[in-house]
Amino acid sequence: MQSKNHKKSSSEKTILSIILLITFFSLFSTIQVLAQYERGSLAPDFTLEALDGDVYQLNQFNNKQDHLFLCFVNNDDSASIAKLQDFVNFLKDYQPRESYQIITVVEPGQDIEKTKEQLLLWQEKTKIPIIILLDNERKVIENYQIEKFPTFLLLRTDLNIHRVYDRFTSREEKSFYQYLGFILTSQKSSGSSDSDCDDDGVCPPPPGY
Amino acid sequence: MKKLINNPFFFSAGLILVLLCLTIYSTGAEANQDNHVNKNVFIELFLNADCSHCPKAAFCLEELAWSYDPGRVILIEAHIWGDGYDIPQTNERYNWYTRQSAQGTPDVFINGLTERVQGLGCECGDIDESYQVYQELIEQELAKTTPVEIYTEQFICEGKILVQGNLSNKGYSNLQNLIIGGMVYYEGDESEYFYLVKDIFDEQDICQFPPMDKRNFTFVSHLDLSNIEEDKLKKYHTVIFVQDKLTKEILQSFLAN
Repeated sequence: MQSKNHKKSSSEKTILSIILLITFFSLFSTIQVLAQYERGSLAPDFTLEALDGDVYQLNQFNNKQDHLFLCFVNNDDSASIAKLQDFVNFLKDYQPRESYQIITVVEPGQDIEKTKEQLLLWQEKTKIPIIILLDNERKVIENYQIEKFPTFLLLRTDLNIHRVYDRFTSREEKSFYQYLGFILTSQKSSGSSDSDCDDDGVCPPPPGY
Repeated sequence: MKKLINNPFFFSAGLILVLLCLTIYSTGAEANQDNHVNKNVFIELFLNADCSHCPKAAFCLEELAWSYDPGRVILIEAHIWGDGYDIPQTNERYNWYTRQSAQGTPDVFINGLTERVQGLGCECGDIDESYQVYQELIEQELAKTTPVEIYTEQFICEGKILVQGNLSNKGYSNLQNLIIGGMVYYEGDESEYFYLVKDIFDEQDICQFPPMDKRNFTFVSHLDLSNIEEDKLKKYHTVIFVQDKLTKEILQSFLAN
């Protein structure tokens, strides 16, 4: 009788463990998906200190501009800093500057003070709306699960992640700048090239076709 | 037995088992309904270098084509109207598609005439809205199945692209008035030229294609690649497709490796 009861309780334990395991794995996978930045989802909020000592919260930019570029770079990775500089240089030609905001989250690397000096100097030189935040404890970078530098997230006005650029192969880089060219208005563009095409976006055949 | 049912652990375990069995059974039942296979999406973008709206259409479709598994969404960019990148066959194919309708670029054919989007797909010309329109149409096509299965391989032999393969009718009904065709595209370095059509094969007729039948085919490209460097040869790709001659809908397509 005792052995029967013992058998019964051990089988109950096994089933209970299976159920617990299933619950654990399903919960774990959900958490993974929720934590990672994902196109179409709301960018997780964070608060960080900027180079000048001011504190910024991501949510304070909600409905403040048409496009918000959230850039993650690593100061030890010169390539990622160079890509950020290319991006800022590209934006110099685009207006109006109130229509967009750049927020750069920097993983400072080893020499934090030197990094601060360099970035502050650079920020003063550029006249475009850029805020440089230092993620000293890597909390934001870890929360966003940033694996590669640079990673650029394009946020809508409601802070939903609209586009993700995290590979920066030559093809992806071209695509990134091409997209920026479509969504921002260039100072250089003449705006007269659409004359032959109708309002539905259809361009007719040239004469002779 | 009553004790077992009343026991919450056994009850939960039983419930999970029943749900699992039901899921497995329903999946199996769906698969057994027919022998159809997943339908790939073949997108033909007809464009012209002087068309001011074409860059947006090309951008959206290129981004979408990259975002799916290779071979599931196959994009080709067919230049037309003497812009220096067109070939006689692309102009002929566009005229074949638009025999009874207005011509204008960008013109997008998704699985042939299954879906056609002329212009940018939305009135405002907004890039994100256009992207969404194309994406919805692609998803719609991806959800479909087809009785036609294609398998093909591409070889380059003495400067000529040779494509060999076979197609099968996996369905239970006879298919009629089909054509099997193919295109060679070159993987360029710029948008609008990433999938540049360089050659279109002469189509082969399949008047009757009975159930469970299998056909072999061979195509040889008109292109002469004998003086092309090895690394550039790798940028030539072939797409094979089976199209209904009357409705001009594409039943299946395959990207050869």
